[in-house]
Amino acid sequence: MKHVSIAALALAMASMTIGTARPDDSFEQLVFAAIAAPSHVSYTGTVEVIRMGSHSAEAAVYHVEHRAPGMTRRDYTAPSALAGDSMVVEGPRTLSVDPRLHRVVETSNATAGDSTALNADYALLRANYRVQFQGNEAFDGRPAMDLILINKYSGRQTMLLRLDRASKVVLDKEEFASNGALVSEVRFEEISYAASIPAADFSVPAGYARLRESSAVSFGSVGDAMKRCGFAARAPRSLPDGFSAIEGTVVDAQGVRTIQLLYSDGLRTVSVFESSKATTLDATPFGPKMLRVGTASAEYAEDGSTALLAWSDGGLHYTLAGELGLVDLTRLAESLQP
Amino acid sequence: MEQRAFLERAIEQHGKATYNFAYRLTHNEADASDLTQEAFIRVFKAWESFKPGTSFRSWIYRIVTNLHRDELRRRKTRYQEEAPPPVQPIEELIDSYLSEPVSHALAKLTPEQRQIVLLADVDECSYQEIGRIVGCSVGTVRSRLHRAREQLRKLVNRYMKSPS
Amino acid sequence: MNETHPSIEQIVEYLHRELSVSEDAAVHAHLATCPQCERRRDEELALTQALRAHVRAQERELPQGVTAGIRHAVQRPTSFAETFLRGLSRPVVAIPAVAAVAAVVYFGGSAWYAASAPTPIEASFYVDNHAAAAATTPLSDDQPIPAALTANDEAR
Repeated sequence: MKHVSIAALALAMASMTIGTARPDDSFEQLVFAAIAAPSHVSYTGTVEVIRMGSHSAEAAVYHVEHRAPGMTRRDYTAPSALAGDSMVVEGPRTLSVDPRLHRVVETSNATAGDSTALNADYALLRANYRVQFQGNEAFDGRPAMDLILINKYSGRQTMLLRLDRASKVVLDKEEFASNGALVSEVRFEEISYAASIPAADFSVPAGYARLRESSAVSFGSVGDAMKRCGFAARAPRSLPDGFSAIEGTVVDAQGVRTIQLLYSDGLRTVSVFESSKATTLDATPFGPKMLRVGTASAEYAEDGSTALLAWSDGGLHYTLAGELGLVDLTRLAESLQP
Repeated sequence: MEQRAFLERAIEQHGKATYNFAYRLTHNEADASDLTQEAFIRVFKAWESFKPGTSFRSWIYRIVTNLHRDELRRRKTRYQEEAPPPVQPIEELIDSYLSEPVSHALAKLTPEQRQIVLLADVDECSYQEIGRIVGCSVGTVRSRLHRAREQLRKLVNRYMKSPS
Repeated sequence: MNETHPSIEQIVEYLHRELSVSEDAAVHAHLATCPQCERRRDEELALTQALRAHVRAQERELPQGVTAGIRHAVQRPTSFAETFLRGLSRPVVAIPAVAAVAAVVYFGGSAWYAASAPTPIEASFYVDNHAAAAATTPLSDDQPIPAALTANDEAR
């Protein structure tokens, strides 16, 4: 996906004609303001991220420093596998620092600052979700407000946002699966706003080996990707409610040329990976289950809140990855059958 | 076959209650289903050890409690971080925020307190039964129960006085 | 006994029918003549009833799959129960587990396998590429949890 910068988002927000908005748009504008907050608010704090599947949970804790509009540093303190690692995001560049292996891995995001794509994403979210005020809360001594995002098709609450009333920064974000179970939470354990943060805070160790991804992954339309991939890829005949095609690309999966098609409803996403060369999914750490897609045998696994479904059919090898429940995932899989 | 008949009767008479008991512990459908299923499988295997006339309910509730405890321990050792406390589905959360002082107050109890209060007041188990299910003495049941009710009393009064 | 009012704990245990026969009779007699304690009893009863109403309102039906699952499980001769709870199952194709792959390999190096054998792709490849692609939906996290955070480092 085009990795748009937060600054572009702020630009897009400014271009919205707030004056002509109807009263019930005000909560949606709060959501937009929450997304845009990091473009003009600098802060430091400690964040906890929890991702949960039905049989497993992952958690990470990191210290964060954000200098508006687009520099962010995360220093992981937990779990022990990540402790000491850090990540610095500077606009379109991300540097992952691994002190154990003494190296920095740099990944680039494609065109940053694309406000057209951003507006389209946000329009998609607004088309598929409505925002409801949930109540006033206090968070760490600050007045906060709760907003929930409700899927218009299922009527289900998909996300809860707790915003700092003053800064509009999202202090706590909870995502829910279709059965109401919590699938992920990102929350500040403590936050303090800073007028400015020195740029030196975002430097990475000088003596480390630098590794760059050898080929930047560039995204285009789904149609373009299907032309580029070099085999007869299939697109789903039907999508879950509210979903539409976002973009596609061709990636290299351990030597296997693989197409990746991304679909989203503005909040939830799913990627369809396909290859003509035979692949199998190795999901051993996640306790995979065997299911069926039509007549084909399929493998299903969950990695935190991301579900995976892999099968082979009609000469193609498919893997779906995304935040969909098993029912939606299986339907999507069946709509890919020849 | 008698063993199958025993199981079928057990599911028919206690399936729903057991599932709800498991749901109270896990707060999500998937885990509650797993626990319920596993508990009835154990009941099937150990059916001969059940003494007729004793409380089937407290037997299976105990199995569910132990399985849940085991699973929590398993999750705790697999991942360095503590499994986060079970979160109520959003509908219950909304209820408690909006209008229900009781459900709001219940949510503030510790899981142990909540379990004992619900077993005593909703499932109407005897203190001895509760002790067997939860794995503690009747004296402990009493003190936890009274502590829990004291908390509930305070909280319910507070929530009823102040608008949410 | 009429001068000393029962404690709140005694009232609760009276309602739960957990008092001894003589204690129960004494409390019962006291309540008949003491409006103050009767009111306390009514309050405790109201709390109990509110708890019951709250729980019963949220009572769920036993999901269909559960009964079917139980019946299916008890038919199998092997210990299905053990594996069920952990959500494990044997993969269709027995392949050796691939060692943990550093993120940089996804984009660069390629390992060539024999043309006939399917290439096993680690789940984390799909998860990470999906997360990277999805990262800019308006309310997603900036970055996914790095690839290192999988269960690979745990002994299973």
